[in-house]
This record gives sequence, C-alpha cells and structure tokens, in this order.
Amino acid sequence: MKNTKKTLRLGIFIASALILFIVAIYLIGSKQNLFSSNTEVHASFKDIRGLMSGNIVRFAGINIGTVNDIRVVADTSVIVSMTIQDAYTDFIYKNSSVQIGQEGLMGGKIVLISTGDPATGKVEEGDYLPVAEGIDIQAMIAQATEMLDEAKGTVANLRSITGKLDTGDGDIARLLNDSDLTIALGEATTSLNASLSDVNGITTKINNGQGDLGKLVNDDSITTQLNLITANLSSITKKADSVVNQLHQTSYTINHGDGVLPRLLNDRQMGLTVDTVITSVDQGVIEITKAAETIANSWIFRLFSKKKEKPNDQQPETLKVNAGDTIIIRPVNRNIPEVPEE
Amino acid sequence: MAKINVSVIRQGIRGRLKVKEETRKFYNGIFIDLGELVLFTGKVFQQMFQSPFEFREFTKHGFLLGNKSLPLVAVTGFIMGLVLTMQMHPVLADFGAQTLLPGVVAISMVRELGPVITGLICAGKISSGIGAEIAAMTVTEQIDAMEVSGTRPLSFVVASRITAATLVVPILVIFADAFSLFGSFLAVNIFEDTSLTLFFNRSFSMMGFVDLFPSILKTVFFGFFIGLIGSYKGYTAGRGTESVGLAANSAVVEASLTIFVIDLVFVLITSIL
Repeated sequence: MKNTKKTLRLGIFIASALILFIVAIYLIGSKQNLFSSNTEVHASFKDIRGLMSGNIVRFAGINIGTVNDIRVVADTSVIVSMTIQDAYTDFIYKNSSVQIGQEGLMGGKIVLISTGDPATGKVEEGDYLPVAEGIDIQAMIAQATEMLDEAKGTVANLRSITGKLDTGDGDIARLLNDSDLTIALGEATTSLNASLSDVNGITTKINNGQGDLGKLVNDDSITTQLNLITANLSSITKKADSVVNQLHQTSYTINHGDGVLPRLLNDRQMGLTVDTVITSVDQGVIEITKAAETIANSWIFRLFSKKKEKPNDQQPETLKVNAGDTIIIRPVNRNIPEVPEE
Repeated sequence: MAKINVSVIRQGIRGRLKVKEETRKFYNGIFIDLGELVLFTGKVFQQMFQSPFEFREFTKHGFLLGNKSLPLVAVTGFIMGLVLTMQMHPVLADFGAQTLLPGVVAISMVRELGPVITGLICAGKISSGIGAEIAAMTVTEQIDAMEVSGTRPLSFVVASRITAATLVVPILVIFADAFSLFGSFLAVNIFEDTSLTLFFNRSFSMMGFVDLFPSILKTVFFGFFIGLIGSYKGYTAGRGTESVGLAANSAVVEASLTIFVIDLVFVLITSIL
C-alpha cells in the first residue's frame, strides 16, 4: 500500500513535468506556427540585412507567421519563404508589399507585410509578394552622421560669428560693445524730442485756428468760396468744352466740308479761278475807270454839268497798274481808313 | 676546493623521484578510475536491459530522488528566476529594453542556468546520497551477500538508481525552469504591472526548440552520470567506515565536474547547430 502511494506520487510528479514540457513545446511551436494551417509565400530581396529563419512576419502589428527558409538564388536575389497563418491570408493581397524591418533598436529583424489592393485578389500558396524598401538602421546612422557633420560645421560658423560679435570691430559688434552709437542715438532722440515739441506747438496753433494755416484748416468759409470757385470753373470748363467742340466742328467742316470756304482753302483749282476772277475784276475796274474818265472829259457831259471845271493845267497822274495789283476805289466824301502800306 | 655534500644530493634525487612516483600514481589513478568506470558502465548497461527489470526499486528510488528533491529544486529555481530578473532589469532598462526581460530570463534559465543549477543540486543531493548508501552497503558486505544469494546487485542496487536518476533529473529541470519563470514573473511585477499571459508570451517569443530540446537532452546525461558516478563511487568504496564519507564526497565532486564537462560539450554542439 505504501509502495503504491509512492508510485502514485511519482506518477503525478512525472505527469506534471510532462504536462509542463508539452505546454512549453506548444507555446514555442505556436510561435512558429507549427500547430496551425499555414500558407507559404515568397519574396525576393536584394539584401535581407541579417534576417534569419524563424524571424517573425508581421502584418498590421500582428505576428502572423515566421520566416521558414532563406535561399540565395543569384548575387542580387535572396528568396525568403514565409509561412503565414491561414486565418490572416484573407487580408493579404497579391500586391501587398513586404519589407524587412527591425523590432525596436535592440530587437531582431522582422518581415513587415503592408496592406494591398483587394482588386488584385487574396494571396495564395506559393505567391511572390512585391518587395518595398524598408528602414535600414545602417543607412539611418550614415544619414545621422552626415547631419552631425553638417551640424558641426554650422556650430563652428556660429562660434566664429559669435566670436566676431564679441571681439570684432564690425557694425554689429560695435552695436553690441561700443557706447558711441548709444550716445549719438541719445542725442538724436533729444533733438527729435525738441523737434517733436516744436511740431506739437505748431499743430496746437493750427488746431486753435491761429494764423493763416489755422484758418485754412479750421475756417469753413474759405472752403465754401473755394467750392464756389470750383463750381464756376466747372461751369466755365463746360462752356469752354462746348466752344472747343464747336471750333472742332467748324474746323472739321472747313477741312472736310464742301462749302466755299473749305474749297477756298483746300481746292487749288478754286484758288486759281479766284485769282483769275480778281485779275479780271482788276482789269474791268481799270477799264471802267478809263471809260469813266473818258465820259467825264467828254464835252457833252461838261455841257450839262453845272460846274465848269477849269481846264486842269496839271496833267493827271498817270496810274500805272500792273496785273495782280489791288485797286481801292474810295468815295470822295467818306472817310475810309487808309490801308497801311506793306 | 669545496667539499661536495653527497648526502644532500642523494636526498634531492630521492625527493624528486618521490614526487615523480606520486605524480605517476595520481595520473595512473585517474586513468585506472576512468577505465574501471567504463567497465562498470558497460556492466550496468548490460543489467539495465536484462530482465527482470527491477521496477519496484526504480519507482522507489524515482520517488526518493525525484519527489523528495522537488521542493529544493523548486525553491532554487524560483529564487534563481527572481534574482536573475532583478539583476538584469537595470541593465536592460539602460537600453530601454525592459520588454525583453522575460525572454532573456527564460532563455537563460532554460538553456543554461536551469539545467546546470539543478544538475549541481542533484549532484550534491542525489549523487552523494547514492554514493553513501551503496558505500554503506559495500562496507557492511550487503553487496557481497546479494552476489552470494544470487541477487544481481548491479541490477537491483545500481541500475535501478541510475535509471531513476536519469529520468528524474530532466523532470526536476523542467520544474526548476517553470518555477524560475514564476519567480521572474514576480520580479517583473515588482518593476511594472505585467499580466501572466503577456509575461509568458514575451518569455516564449524569443525561445525556440533549439533552446528547449538540447537543454532537456543534456539533463538526461546529467542524470545518468549523477547516478552512475554516485553508484560507482559507492560500489567501489573501501572496507572501512571512512569509505562511506569518502565515496559520498568524491561522488559529489566528480559528478559536479562531469556536469560542467557535459554542459561544455553540449554548448559546443548546439553552437555548431
């Protein structure tokens, strides 16, 4: 009986250990998807950056599978085979891209699967997923190093600038270090204050209506008069405009019309005709004058004339008229202003 | 001309010869012990696979070696997990990698510390116990009596104990690993609130079969050699009563040393894998 009890306790002891061992195997196996149905997919990378078999495959932050095989097929192509739990293949599409990421700064490499286009269809066994460029810590470090170098240069420049500001003799350094400019600025400010005081006095006088400027600013009568003048000027301007318009019309009519004056001005033939007429009139007048003299000197006309004219001892002045001369016949008893000789 | 003291030279030569003789005896003793151990192992293997198998003795010693050692191993494993977690937390916290703590502790315990610590405890408790017990039987001529009476002492006394030790040490290691994880869980919760589920997820997230199986396999060897060395030391003990203590002492020392050697061999093999 005692021995049976010992055997029972030993059996419980061994069974407990076996259960623990099986639980450990299950936990480890489930992490490696050994106890679930899986789909195997592949991706071809140029550089797997230290990815190893057994690394996690992650989709939307969930561990959905593991890397189960890595094969080098060419110098620029490494095929990574991944097993993905079937429960998640409904959400991974044929164009879902994969990339190699890192599980934190200290963690190992992982494969990240991004969401794809449902139109391309769900991923199937043996599919090759497209590869996207992942985050490379080495590249980030290289970039950070470059930035640090640039920052170092910038800091050196800043140090140089601050040194010059501190000890140099440039404008900004003098602004910071010398007091001359401050004194000058103080004097200028004093002068400016005095000027402003004067200006203040002037504006006060103006506001009070003192002097012509004050009246000009404050008195409305000047403005009223100016308004009237402006109104008159406006009226005059309108009239002048009307006159100008009429003159414009007249000049236009003179230039482009077909009356006598436009033709007189513009028509050459008309001018010649007028000249000819005037010449003819001149000749006619001469002829008439001669005829009148002949009639006046005839005896018949003298016979019936009351006034007997003495025979003129003086010979009448012979008028010599040339072609084109203008003859003015002046009545005897009228005062006709003399035409000034040219 | 100075006198040569011949007696001094003779004494020097004798001393050197004496040293050489002792050295030769020491090395010869090691190799003789090794040879006898190999022969003893062969005989034990023969007895193990010869019927009838002493199942009652096996269960008796399984219970004594396993069940009776469990509290000691469980407490040790629990404390190891607790202490290891508390020691590693500040180091990992410096890198902001506290979340890796359960995984690191689990791998450390399962791969190395659990098997080795448990192996050393078993070397101290089981191997010395077996050595002292069998040595006492040898001193009191019980072994001789068994041989005379036709009972196979190698099967009844030795093989049953070695088989029991081979079985219970891996089981004790599994318990030690489990209790160490609970200790680690407690330590992690000192620093931050972590659920048991999250803790075990993190613990097993970094672990693979390559961590678990080699460590369990090597504990099988640990158990076998703990039982074998204890039995050998007891079986080959002298006739005096002091041989009992000597057998127990040398069993502990040699079993502990063997555990480290086996561990080294397994680490080399698993590192190749």
